[in-house]
Amino acid sequence: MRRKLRQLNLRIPGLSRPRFLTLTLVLLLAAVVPFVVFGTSSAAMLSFRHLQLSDGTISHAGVKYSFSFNTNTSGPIGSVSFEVCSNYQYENGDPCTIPNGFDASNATLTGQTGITDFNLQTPPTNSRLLVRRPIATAVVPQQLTVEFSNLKNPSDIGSYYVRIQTYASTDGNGPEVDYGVVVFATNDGISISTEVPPYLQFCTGITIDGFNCGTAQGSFISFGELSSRAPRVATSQMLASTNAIYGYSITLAGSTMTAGTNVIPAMSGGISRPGSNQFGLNARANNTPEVGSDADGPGFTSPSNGYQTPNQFKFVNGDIIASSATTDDFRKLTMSYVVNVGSNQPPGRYVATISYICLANF
Amino acid sequence: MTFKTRVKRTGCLLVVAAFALAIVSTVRPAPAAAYGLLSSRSIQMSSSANGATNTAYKVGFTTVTNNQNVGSVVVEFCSNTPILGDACTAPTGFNTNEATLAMNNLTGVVTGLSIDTTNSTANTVVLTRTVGTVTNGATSFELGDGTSNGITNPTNTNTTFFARIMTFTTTDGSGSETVDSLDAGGVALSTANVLNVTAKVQETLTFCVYTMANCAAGGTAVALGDSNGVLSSTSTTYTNTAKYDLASNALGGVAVKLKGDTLKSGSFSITPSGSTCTVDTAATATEQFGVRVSTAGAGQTADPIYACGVNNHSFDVANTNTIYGENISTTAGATDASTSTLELAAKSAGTTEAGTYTTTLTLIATATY
Repeated sequence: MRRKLRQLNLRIPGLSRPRFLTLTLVLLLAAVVPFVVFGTSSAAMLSFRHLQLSDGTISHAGVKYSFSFNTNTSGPIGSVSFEVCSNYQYENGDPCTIPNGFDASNATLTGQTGITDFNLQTPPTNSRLLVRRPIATAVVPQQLTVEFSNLKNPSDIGSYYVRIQTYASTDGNGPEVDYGVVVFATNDGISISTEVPPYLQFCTGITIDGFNCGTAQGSFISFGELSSRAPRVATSQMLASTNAIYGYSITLAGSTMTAGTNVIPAMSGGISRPGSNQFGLNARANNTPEVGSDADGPGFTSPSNGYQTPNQFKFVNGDIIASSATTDDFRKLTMSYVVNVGSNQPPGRYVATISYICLANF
Repeated sequence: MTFKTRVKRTGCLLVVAAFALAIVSTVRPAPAAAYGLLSSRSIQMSSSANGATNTAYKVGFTTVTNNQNVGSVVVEFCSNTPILGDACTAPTGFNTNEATLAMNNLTGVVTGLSIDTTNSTANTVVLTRTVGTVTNGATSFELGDGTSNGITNPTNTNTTFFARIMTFTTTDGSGSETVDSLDAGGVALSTANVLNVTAKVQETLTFCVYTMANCAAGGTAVALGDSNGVLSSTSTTYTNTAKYDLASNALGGVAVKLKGDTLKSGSFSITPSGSTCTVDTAATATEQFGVRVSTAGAGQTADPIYACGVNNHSFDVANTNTIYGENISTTAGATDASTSTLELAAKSAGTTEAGTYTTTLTLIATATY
């Protein structure tokens, strides 16, 4: 038994030494999950890197591309390249497909921080922007920003890749020091449209509540029995609002009070004189006689000349009694009517039909 | 059988016996080793990399000689052979670091072991204990913890080396490997190349803006108003929506910026809602244009200016109408594909000049890697 043990001790149980070694190596390799091994670059990766566009719309021109990134390697930096591709470059030197429609031929360097003595090599080579320093001085790891202006975006909607590489050389050649890829996306902008229609609201009535034309009521004014001793007065109201950019005007249309061939003369502008034959109106609050109110409402329309002075009355067919030069919110005018007769005014039933015409200018 | 025959046979037997004895005496080898062969013996390394430092070696074995008086366990490392008694060459670069080597996780029948730093060497670890009887059974312990107080591997890669595990009655591991060891056995170990594995995941950003049902359907036009696209009522706010899909593996997240102006018709404009969420008014004298992120996609957070509630909108035109626009939503880090909805709103006033009002809003995604 002991001899047998001694003999067994000459070799690893069950396997010859070469076979055991082979098995060990096979097992070690078998324990490794298959995968693809890339060759690795010795360059460090730029951190906190991004690209901000001033506009992501396809084919948009005059776009600013603002790059920001942190370098991670101390040493000389002589140049930095930014290569825009529609494909992803896995390794330095991988082919770059220039995006359709992308144009950097008119690019300018409009901003830089961190390192501030870069100059843009012009014209750019295809889609590669190269900024170069006069001397490749050593720098510590830091944040750099570089802004280019006047680029034209690719013409296709999608994602695009920019490989950023720093070099110790001043011509963008040789081994890269640090590198990184950023991605940007293009798309169509959102086009918003709407229509604001022409708008005019105008109404008349004996009374109008608030600024609501739906409340306008009445169209008949009765002065009763005219007297030579005192004037007869009455009021009506009108409401107007418009979005006409040139505003609106309200025109007086009608004739003075008549009874057959007998006429109460229309006033051409003047005060109320009891005992005289006169008919007129204005759009103000009066105290002689006491009748009417001033214009009211969030708008700014005011009575026109001849009708804007308290206690002065006028009636001329075709006169503009109020107007606005621009859009105006609701404005309520109170028209004040006054009629006087003398003892020589022939008797009769005197009637006047008055219209107010609002014209908006769009 | 005759006497002569008997004598002859006996003589022959004697001659045969003598001869056999001689044979036995002449060819019988030296006395065999007294040790039993440890079973289930192994040494597991925490690293097979050549030259790796602070490597943990987990030693395991099962004794086969019952009730042996064990005073020490010796593990001897050799580059040339595991055979006890043969000369042992220390593996190149191998070092037990006996002065600082730590033993951990002792389990099994051989209890109370500790490292004998005095008698251990660069290629031999002596573990000592108070002599005592050990019944047959498994024992294991770890030399080093894998991060510190461990063993330095041989410096040659892809190279086999050996270890001899021995138990002794002596407490210092002394004695003949072949004569004095109680149980013993050899194991083979190997350094190996470390496989450097790399895989690249490319930076990604997917960003799609659309007005139709989904990104594939596309669409860029948004009409605000009634069924005819007209702001026909000055007391009503009209709304419509656009959407954007976003996905990125940017660790620094993605910022979606809104860029653009309010609705305009020539020199006329509809007043933007402002830099804070403003309620949609029914006042006929007030015009408004605004937006809000009505639905933020998973992983996206609407900017407070545009995270307005229902019937509220904002439009910070001072910042949306700048070179790079203003944030409307952000992600904190990488985000899977998700969809956000942008609600646009417009209302005219009685004094809003008549005309066709338009604007183009651009959404720009900036990913930080």
